Amino acid sequence: MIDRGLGADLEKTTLLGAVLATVTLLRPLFAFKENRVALGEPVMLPEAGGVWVTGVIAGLVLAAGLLSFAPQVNRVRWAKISIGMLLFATLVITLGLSGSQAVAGMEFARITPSTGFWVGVLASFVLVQGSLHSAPVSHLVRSVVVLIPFLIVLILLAAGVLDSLAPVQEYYTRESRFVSELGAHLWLSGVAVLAASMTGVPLGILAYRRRMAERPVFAAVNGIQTIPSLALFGLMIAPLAYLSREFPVLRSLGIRGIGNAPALIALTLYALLPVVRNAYTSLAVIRGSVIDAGKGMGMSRAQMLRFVEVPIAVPIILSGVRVSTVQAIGNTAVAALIGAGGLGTFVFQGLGQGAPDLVVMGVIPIVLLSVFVDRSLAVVIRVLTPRGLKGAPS
Amino acid sequence: MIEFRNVVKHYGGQTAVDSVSFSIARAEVCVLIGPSGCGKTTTLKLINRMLEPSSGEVLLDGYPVASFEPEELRRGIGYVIQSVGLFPHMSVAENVGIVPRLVKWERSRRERRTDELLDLIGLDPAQYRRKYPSELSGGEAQRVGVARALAADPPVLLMDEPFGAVDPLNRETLQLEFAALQRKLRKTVVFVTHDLDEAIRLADHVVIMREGRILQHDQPAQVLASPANEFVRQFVGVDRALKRLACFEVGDHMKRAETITREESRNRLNEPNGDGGYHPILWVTNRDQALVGMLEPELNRRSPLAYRPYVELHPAEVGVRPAASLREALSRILGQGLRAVPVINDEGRVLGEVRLSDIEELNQTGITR
Repeated sequence: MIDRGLGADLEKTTLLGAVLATVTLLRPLFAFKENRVALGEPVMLPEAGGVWVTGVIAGLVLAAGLLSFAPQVNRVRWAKISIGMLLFATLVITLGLSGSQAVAGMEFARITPSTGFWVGVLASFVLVQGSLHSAPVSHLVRSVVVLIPFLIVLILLAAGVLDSLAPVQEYYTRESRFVSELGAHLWLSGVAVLAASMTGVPLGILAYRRRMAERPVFAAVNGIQTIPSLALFGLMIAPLAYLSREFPVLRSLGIRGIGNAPALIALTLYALLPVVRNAYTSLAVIRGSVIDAGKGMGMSRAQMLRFVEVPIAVPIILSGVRVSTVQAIGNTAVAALIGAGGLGTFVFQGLGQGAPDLVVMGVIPIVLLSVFVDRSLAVVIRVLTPRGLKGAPS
Repeated sequence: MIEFRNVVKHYGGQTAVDSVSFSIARAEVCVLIGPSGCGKTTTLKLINRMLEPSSGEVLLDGYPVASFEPEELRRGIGYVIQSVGLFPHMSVAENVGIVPRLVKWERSRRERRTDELLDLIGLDPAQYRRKYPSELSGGEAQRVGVARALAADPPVLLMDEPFGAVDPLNRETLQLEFAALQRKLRKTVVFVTHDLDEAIRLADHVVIMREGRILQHDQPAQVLASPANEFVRQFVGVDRALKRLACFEVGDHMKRAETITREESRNRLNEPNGDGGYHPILWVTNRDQALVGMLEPELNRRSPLAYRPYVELHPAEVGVRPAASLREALSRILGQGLRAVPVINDEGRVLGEVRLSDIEELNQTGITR
């Protein structure tokens, strides 16, 4: 009999989550500000939530710590997931309620979440994901569990519980601007991905079909990817400004050194690599024997495309489009620097004004947008993938 | 059915097929065999126009294949390749039904045909219809490949090393299944392999190729008996006499066997040896005439009795089936240390016997040194 000893079943991820969660007890939960530019006064958890909430969170931390030594069976897994969820919900609700109390009656007062809150959120993420990723559940259950924290935040936002938060206040003062910049962001990344798909798919096919083209095509798209995005946006300014000056036609089309045109070109160039690579791969995975068999059975070129190549290739090409869309949504934030607009506008405004809350207000929708688009395209791809080709979940 | 007339195929700077002329009769299995690079696969692909000849022509049913549209032509010719090439994104049923779909059969007819074919190749339709190629074993995938080629009931079947990627044990099973299938379907089959045993097992005619030329075109037994030249002699190997036995069926070479009942055997046990002349093995059967044992003749001339004591036998271990090859019969004879083995049917009844002396005789006639 082997003595398994203490720690034989140690789940390092859970332990990490528990250790991170202790930070919520040791560091300030939020900072109270009398107005937008005032220095914040740190507020600790016991002060914000009182004895009961502090006790609950301490209990959750302790439970997570103890459970990290338990064998990772299903019941333990769900216990950890629940602990993570409870931790998150308690933190957000406490933040909102005590924040509202703190700013009550003061017109410009607001609160900013601090280390204690953010690390606590990270800890709950670690606890939930660490157990969920190995749980034997379907895609649907997994997606629903992942959605719960977002739902909690949405409900609290709608109920006005989080109104005292500085980013939310920043939002209220810019509501209409926010909507138009969100539109611009979607338009810029959407058009860039569309353009990249329309050029990238043929390029990938060309690279696969013509040996001569393979190296130059990949050298080019890989090369673009190595240029820092800021530099690429900058590089667009000079040549486009020159062209715009020399050719009035272009100017009348709105093409200038700054604004949409250079942003779209740069974003499109960035979006190319995943599309080209996956278009190339999609053909490379179709084995020669399959083509040979189809041809030998009397398929015409069009039938080969319809029955064999498209069903196998399309999901793989779409996976490339998915990666490049997520990338483009991130890159579009930088495009605000050259006057193209988008949610990056708030980020750079915030940076310029030394207002981190404004930065957060710009960043959070970008992150949510990326996650949303990524998951939706994942579902589309899963639906389009023929059952025989379905492997590991994406 | 298929005729090659002075067909030449150049590949790059090389001649893959060098003025080949031969013909393949309807409903026969013609095996193209030779070392790799001998032009056998090229020859095969000239039939369904996967390749076009540089000169000469290939005739199908008297018409040059070049006179058909390639796609039209191929839909009428079943095609099975070594790597199977099942469509990974289609279920077994969709794979099998693809050619009927190309030639626009209606769905219900297609589904009926698919199930019929799965039955034919020994895969239960209910269980396999919805499976995907990634869920099949190598042998199952290969069977599905054959079913797919047969789907639109083409008169001609081209098979390019179809069992090459399967392990030896499964390969033999697949070969035997295919042989049985072919007895039922009577297709004109052109079969490429580099495995001589496979060729002997399946072929009505063998075409031995080397460097794009045909060295010998004959029945397998004939090729083994008298190789056309030194290369063929080496190719078929020093054990060609043994291999040749695989060309003959037990049923065609069995002799009448003497069977007696258990009661009679008691009397025969006392039979005197006499002058030590020839005594046949007496196969002892029960009331249902199934084999249960034997009396083996005494080989010692000085022994007073003609037969040794009764020996019980397990029919499955000693007997051979009429469809087995003489090679298998010889193996039994050597294994049992007998002069003959009984030929039995499914019920264990003795149909006859195969004698070592007959095999030896057969071997001496026909084989050239």
